[in-house]
Amino acid sequence: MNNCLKLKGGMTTVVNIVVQAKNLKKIEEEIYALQSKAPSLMKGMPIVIDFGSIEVTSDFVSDLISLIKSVGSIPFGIKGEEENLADIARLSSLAYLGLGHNAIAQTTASKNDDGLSIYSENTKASPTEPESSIERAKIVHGPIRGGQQVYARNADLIIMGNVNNSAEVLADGNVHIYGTLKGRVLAGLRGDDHSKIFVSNFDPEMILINGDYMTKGDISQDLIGQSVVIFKVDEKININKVSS
Amino acid sequence: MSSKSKRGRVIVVTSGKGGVGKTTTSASLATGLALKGKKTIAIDFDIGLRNLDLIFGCDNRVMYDIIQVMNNEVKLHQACISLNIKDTTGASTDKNLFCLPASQTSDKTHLNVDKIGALIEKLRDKYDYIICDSPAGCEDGALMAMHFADEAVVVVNPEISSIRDSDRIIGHLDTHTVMGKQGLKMPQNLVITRYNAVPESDMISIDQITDILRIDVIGVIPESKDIIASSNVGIPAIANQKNVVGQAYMDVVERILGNDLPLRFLNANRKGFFRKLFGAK
Repeated sequence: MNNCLKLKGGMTTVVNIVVQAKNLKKIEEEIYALQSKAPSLMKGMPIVIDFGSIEVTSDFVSDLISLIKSVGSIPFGIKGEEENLADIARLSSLAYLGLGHNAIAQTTASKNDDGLSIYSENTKASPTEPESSIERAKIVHGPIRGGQQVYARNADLIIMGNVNNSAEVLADGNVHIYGTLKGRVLAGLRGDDHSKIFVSNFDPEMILINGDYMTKGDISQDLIGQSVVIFKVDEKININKVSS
Repeated sequence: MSSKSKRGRVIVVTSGKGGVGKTTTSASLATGLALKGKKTIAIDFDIGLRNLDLIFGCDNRVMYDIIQVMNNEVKLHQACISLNIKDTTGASTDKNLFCLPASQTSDKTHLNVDKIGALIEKLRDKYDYIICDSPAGCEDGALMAMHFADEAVVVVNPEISSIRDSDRIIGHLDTHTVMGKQGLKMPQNLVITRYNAVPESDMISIDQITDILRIDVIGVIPESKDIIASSNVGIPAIANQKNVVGQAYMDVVERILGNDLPLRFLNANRKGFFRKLFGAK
């Protein structure tokens, strides 16, 4: 209780450099091209190198790290399916972050023909949660109380019970609440505009789908206490009553 | 667990918000349990303020406090004040009731979780019930009072800020306690105090409270000027069994002891309405 330190899980957006071919010469060209296009972006940018299923050697990894450092970016972790990658990471004083983009859900990677691609994702610093390829909905029994937060990473979230005032429920996918929503609900956190929110008794402090939100004051009074579905069309939040 | 020693039950009385009646409730429950023949100690965790001894009328007998016991500066029995309280029916707490006061000179950052844990373990061997009177707020003192609890009594007023604070505190009971950390569900019960304190039209109803907090009600204590009067003379309200407050607190004690009684004193004028509410459940 009187410790100087406290361990906390947290979320930070990082850029992933996805290596799609083991061609250092070509990668070098592409990185310099990126740098000339956006020099301030690359400078000081924390980076995760994602090797996917590509087989790599420790020499290749250390060459790539030096290359990325030379343009001012800060590589801090690597991921991929290569067996020795955890050892390579340790030798290079980097964090090994698991299997990489092929093993987890395909995120919004904009791929080039070969070489590398860049995408963003939120990494959650949680030492206990293993990466899973099955994206089952997370089911939580409520009430979720004031000050509590429930997050379904890379999945839908189902709350059985109430979400009380100043409680917060978040999901990368859809959120279902079978109870009274009085707190905050955030869906599609990692950039999914198609995520929806379903609430059986609606009286929220805030609703959000991928960056666009409404607070209590924005919500029409005749929707309060109703069963609703919330979705987004053209960056605008829509709330419809669910007819039964 | 030896046959000689007791395994006392630790009950935290908590609320989040201040002024809702935690200390009044702690003192009455401890007194009531002792009147029922249970060896009981009430601990004041409100380090720096110290109120429980006043409600028990033993403030002039305070020599040592919980911090000194915790630090092994004094023996446990030296700091525990024995109380002999008689109720209006003639029953007496007769060597069953003790109070361990808070310190006025230290502050709550002096509480050490391991030392308090050791102290509570010691008390479990000597008492049937250990009532931990929590300070307001959700910081060190309050977290320490609930940390080792087996059961919680959440005190709430029929008023929105009290309900919201209690909601947060219940969240802490689920996560910041030994039981919570073991993934166990701590039994939590609600005592609604100062009921009828505000005009009926403004007051939040019992079912609205339970709809938000989702824990069982084990007592509804009507608002009464007798509570202030009993605090001022240093006799816990439960000792006056001629008054509805004393009777309502005794009902809570009976329910803690496992006796299933219907809730009463909900509203003298509109009993039918509340019967309807609770009859359905």
